[in-house]
Amino acid sequence: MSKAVFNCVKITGISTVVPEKEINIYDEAQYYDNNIKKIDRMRKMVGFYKRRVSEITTNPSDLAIFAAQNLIQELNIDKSSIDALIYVVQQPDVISPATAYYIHDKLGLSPECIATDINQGCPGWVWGLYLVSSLIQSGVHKKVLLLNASTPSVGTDITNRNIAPIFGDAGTATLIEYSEEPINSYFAVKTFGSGFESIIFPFSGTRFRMDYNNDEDFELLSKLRKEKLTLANGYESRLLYNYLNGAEVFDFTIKKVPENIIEVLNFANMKQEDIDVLCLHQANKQIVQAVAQAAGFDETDEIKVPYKAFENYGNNTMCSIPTTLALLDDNTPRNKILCSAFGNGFASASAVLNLQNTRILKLKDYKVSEIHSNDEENTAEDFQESSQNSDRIKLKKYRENYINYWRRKMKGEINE
Amino acid sequence: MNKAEFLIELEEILQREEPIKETDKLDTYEEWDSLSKMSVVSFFNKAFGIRISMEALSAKSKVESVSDIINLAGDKIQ
Repeated sequence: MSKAVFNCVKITGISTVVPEKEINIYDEAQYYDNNIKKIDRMRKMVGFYKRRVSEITTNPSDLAIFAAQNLIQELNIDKSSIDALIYVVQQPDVISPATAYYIHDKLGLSPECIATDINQGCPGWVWGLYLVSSLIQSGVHKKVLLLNASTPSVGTDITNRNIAPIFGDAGTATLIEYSEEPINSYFAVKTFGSGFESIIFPFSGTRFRMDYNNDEDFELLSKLRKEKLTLANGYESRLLYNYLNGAEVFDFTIKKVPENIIEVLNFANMKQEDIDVLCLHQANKQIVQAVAQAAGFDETDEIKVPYKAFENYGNNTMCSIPTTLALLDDNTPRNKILCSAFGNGFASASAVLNLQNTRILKLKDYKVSEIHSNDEENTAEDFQESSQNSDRIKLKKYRENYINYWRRKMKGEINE
Repeated sequence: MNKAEFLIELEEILQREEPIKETDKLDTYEEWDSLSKMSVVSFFNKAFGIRISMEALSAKSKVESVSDIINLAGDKIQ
């Protein structure tokens, strides 16, 4: 069943972190033939403005760990009491084992705490809450740490205007606990697998099969790597790049997401006017407003239907709802927050949550210079206007360290 | 809504400074891009309660000129 009401699950706290580096669309005028009017138009129509992007050497797990540490510290959480760690991610550090094991170790969690990754995209926060709530409602788990992180900007070809201006990076940690006091949350989660190819990394897994014992395959890869093409919408892309069919995504979103929102409202026996805030996945301003309008909300009410998270942080995929929550005014009522997240799969996940007693921490900057202050490669100069050249140097150093580590590890030269 | 009113709305949707004529070919508009198409879909939904798809709006055989957009609204645009 894709609809569920949970009555003993509370969200205790949420921490969201964003990289400190900000890109402003007006600084990218060169990609729009220096046509400021064109950028003004995009800002007005879609909300393109600022976005936060990671250093080229940042993993999503770095953001997830930072968010978790912030939450643990601010809420003074007893780490030994956390009995499940669920890490929702699309870009795991390695394919296997689950990155959650690495995070489990870094956070110093108990062996009694289970850990696993879940592969979900933009719906991942609401989807993760649904799963975690099920774990708690079942009575098996009492205190669960849900982590979400995404760095879609890393490795993005800055000239690819179909993708680059949309996405930002972020990490979120959410603590969900068993509640003795009754507290209701309502979920409706929908799956539309026919959208599998509409937002996809087509060359990222076993479907694109390489025989690593055969040198010819490496030559093929090298050739494909250079292949550029013009997408149906006129933008340039590389073949071996992530693919997003904007028209298909929009058609899905405008039709299925409002239905999903109305479904959860009906399930919760509520009406649009009962909802304090409609927190929609910040795909872009235009999509937020179109979905809100189609679901019967006043899309022009910027307080009830916020979209500023997109304008100021970009579409940070599964972290966009937590980002939106972090930006809510302190006085905003939070008894009935309707969250709806949608995206690759396709999936649409909507929930009515009571966040009145939830500690929603203010957004925190992830500063590589502070976290890795002893690292030679992260000097203050690196954090000045970063050129592609300095990114190359950082990436090369990072990769060299990684390769050398594994050479030594495999030869038994590292004993831990 | 009459045609003249819709053409003014369309100018706003496309953020186009020059006046729009019913006979204009959409291909000749620099502003007729995916952003505009999404806005037209949203506008149809809001103003007329008509759900059109990006796919339909992007099919050049069906939607070639401004009048083709008007036709999608049926009797909602007089």
